[in-house]
Amino acid sequence: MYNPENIRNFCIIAHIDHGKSTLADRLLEITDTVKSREMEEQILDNMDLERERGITIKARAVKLDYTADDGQSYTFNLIDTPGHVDFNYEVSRSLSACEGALLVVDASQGVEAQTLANTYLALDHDLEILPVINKIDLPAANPDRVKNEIEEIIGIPAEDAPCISAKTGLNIKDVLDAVVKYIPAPKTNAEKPLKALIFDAVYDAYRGVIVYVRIMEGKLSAKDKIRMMNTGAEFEVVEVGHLRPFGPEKRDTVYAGEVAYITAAIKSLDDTQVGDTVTLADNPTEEAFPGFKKVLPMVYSGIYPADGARYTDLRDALEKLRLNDSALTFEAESSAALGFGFRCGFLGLLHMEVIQDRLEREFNLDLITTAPGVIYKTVMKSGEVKYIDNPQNFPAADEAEEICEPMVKATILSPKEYVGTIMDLCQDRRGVFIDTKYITTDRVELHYRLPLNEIVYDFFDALKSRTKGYASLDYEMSDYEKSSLVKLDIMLNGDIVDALSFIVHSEKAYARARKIVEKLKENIPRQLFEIPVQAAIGGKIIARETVKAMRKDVLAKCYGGDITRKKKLLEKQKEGKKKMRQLGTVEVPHEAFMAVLKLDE
Amino acid sequence: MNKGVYIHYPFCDAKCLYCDFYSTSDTRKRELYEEALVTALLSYKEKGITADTVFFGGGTPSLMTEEGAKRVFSALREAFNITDNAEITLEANPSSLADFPERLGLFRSLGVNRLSLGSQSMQKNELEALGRRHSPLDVENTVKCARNMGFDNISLDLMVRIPHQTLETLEDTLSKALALSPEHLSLYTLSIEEKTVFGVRHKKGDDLSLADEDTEEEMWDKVCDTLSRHGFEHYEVSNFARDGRRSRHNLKYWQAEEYVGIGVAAHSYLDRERFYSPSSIDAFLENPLRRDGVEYISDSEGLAEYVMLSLRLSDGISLEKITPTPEFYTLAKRLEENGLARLSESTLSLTERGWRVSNSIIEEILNSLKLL
Repeated sequence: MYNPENIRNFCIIAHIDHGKSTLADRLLEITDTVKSREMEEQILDNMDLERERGITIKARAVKLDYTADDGQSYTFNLIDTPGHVDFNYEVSRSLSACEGALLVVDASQGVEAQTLANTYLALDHDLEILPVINKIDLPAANPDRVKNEIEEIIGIPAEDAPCISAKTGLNIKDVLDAVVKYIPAPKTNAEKPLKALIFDAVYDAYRGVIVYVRIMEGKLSAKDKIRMMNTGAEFEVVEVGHLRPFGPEKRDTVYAGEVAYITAAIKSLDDTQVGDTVTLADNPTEEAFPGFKKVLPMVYSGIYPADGARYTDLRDALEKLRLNDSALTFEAESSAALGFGFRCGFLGLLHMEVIQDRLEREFNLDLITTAPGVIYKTVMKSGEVKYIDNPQNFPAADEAEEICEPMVKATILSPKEYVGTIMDLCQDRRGVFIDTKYITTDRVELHYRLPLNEIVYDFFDALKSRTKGYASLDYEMSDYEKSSLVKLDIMLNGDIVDALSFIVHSEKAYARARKIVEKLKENIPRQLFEIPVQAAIGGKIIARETVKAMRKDVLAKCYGGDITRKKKLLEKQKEGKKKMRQLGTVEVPHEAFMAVLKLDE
Repeated sequence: MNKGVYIHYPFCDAKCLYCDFYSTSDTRKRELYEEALVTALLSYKEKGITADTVFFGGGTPSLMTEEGAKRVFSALREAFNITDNAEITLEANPSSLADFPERLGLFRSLGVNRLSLGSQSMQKNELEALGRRHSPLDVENTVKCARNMGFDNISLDLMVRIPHQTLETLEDTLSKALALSPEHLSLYTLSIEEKTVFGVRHKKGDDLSLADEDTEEEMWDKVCDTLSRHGFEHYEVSNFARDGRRSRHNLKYWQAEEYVGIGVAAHSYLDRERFYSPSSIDAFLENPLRRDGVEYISDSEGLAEYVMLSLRLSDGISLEKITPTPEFYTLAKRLEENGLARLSESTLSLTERGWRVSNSIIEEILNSLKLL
């Protein structure tokens, strides 16, 4: 029964590992929507990868039933949001579909950079924020300190925040009652023309794109003709309904205030972009929701099949992933070193890792990836402006008038004892200090202006390892800044290996070059001939190492019965080389390409 | 072309700790086995094969019973046309057994004219570490005894990288071996094979007191220098000969020529087919004529084998026999520039340094010839 007064649409905001998914599980369990024993752990995260990493990549929504102590039945729509900076835009769309948000904070860790970023985002969307202190069963839990932090840092009251353990199920009911009490019911008008916000879309091989919407005004039924207001695409609705933990629940009509799915034989995600407005083709709403934007990749990397013969498999896999991820871009490129592959664009580093993992895991591909890079803006001598996402196209020193690189504003939250080391790191990565704030007596928020180029390299790893994992980072794009950048080429046996070239700030080129040639030397096995490993800028060698020639392989006897054995050995030897790339006369193992991506000791 | 005949005798007094060859110390079946050898030999009777080399390998073929040895030799001569100048080699272990001279005499009278002695080392502790039952003195006595019987073609097997071996003990072993004036020496680097006592120990983390790689290289240098100074020609990766006394039988393998293998697990290469006899004694006894793993060797495979095997020889490969590609020449020149090979108008051969990395070189050469 449609009763908008008793609908609560909300999401959960939390830093990675603070227990968002576990809380979601408990909510599902206590509302009896799923029997706990039937429930696979953390069912909202339904990709293996998400489960393993404890992160949520794609938003999902689920409808729960709750009967409160006063006997009233409520409909909860729990909208899961991606927890990572790369997916900020998706987060903002998910937030627009809610009236409230549960802010889950780990009772021992306190407020983190991501929590902060997403909370501000939620406040921007005028959501009612309900703090929830989780993991109070841990020995290190300090709920009072964390409540204080929330009040001081975020500035919202936390006195009455439920203190729970999502893991043990302690006080979960407090959360549900708070949702009923504090999160407002949606403001609705079902009589107006349809106006629904797309906050997620997934591709299903049988039904085409399944669009998840929050209906703000009007209603929608099967057979209605709909229009996506920004893309202009029109479709006839096949089915509408609600998403339940156990699967879709078909309805004849869905109404304002509700969260619903739509299928309409839609073939491409390009037609159903997150943030777009769905309306009726013959009775459209006046204005689309503001703030729609097409998400653009920020980080680029070359992805190649380790086995060149699997190029088509890689292309098919990328196409399949793109069905569900319109933020992923790719175009064919070729490298003299790695053969045929793809230049792929990602929202950020996590997005990149997720895609690479999925390619390897779900499609069983072995990949070689090139160093992640960003888009440089170059003003050529001719006055022409070029945006360059591939080091291969980087202009020679005398061709460009000016080269600019993208900058970000980074926020780092950390216990105070690591401030020094973080400042060293940021300085090392060409960061410009903006300010620092003590948010509590022992936690600090640092702001830096940093080149994205430095962040995509191995900044996350470096930050985590230098702060024992305690510091957290969030960043947002700022602008382009003129910079002194050079292209560093790596040569093996005198030949440039295009796949290893990358763009680096001129002052850091020498140190980076030294590290890379050292790493390559370590990772390239001795071969019949000596191999010089060199790094060069514009043809000038700035670093060199040598892989010495192999001195012996197995000296073994060989008589009549050994011939077959010997032949097999040679074949095996050749098979083993498949894990290597033949670059001119040099065999380079795949690990060598990966080793140069992580240089921070 | 004349062929070689290999006769395998898998029985030993004891299995050595490093050995993964098919052998057994169970001697009850000796007589049955000798009978099966006869049957297998006689199956070649009508084929009209002429052989100019015969090699009794093992195991320890010198352990054959007298009656058995006589019957086997008789069957051998009945089945094959053995040329007058045939090289007939017997593998034997140096021994202190009282009846050993008698045994050698028996084989000598049956036509054996070459002895290959598994001496391995001239150091007592190294022989013990290998699980060998003979002493350095046994080696000396055995050679003397063989000389007295008129054997003028004696080969000694020696090992490099034996547990506890040092440059000094190796030098001593070489000089003691050379003092016996062998015509031929085979030098092997001990390789640790999985299914051996050494293999198991090694896997458990025992370093077996083996020399490190650098020392091993110095050891090998020492072997090559010393033997060359004493007039030995390094004619194959691990074989050295004086006065042209190369192992004619083994040359057949390395020149990809044909041979007949008789006995358990013995391989044959005949009429372009490679096959082997049943590889357990029981299976061989049941049917000595069975051929397992029959594999037809095509022209290109034959060529690949020729390259793979002949590069082990100092004579190298003949460019006439292969079809050199431009890639082959590029590679050959590069190998030559780096001191790994010698390229002449008609041959390519590997240098001492080249042999040490011959697995890699052979692979590259086969690739360049599009044979792998």
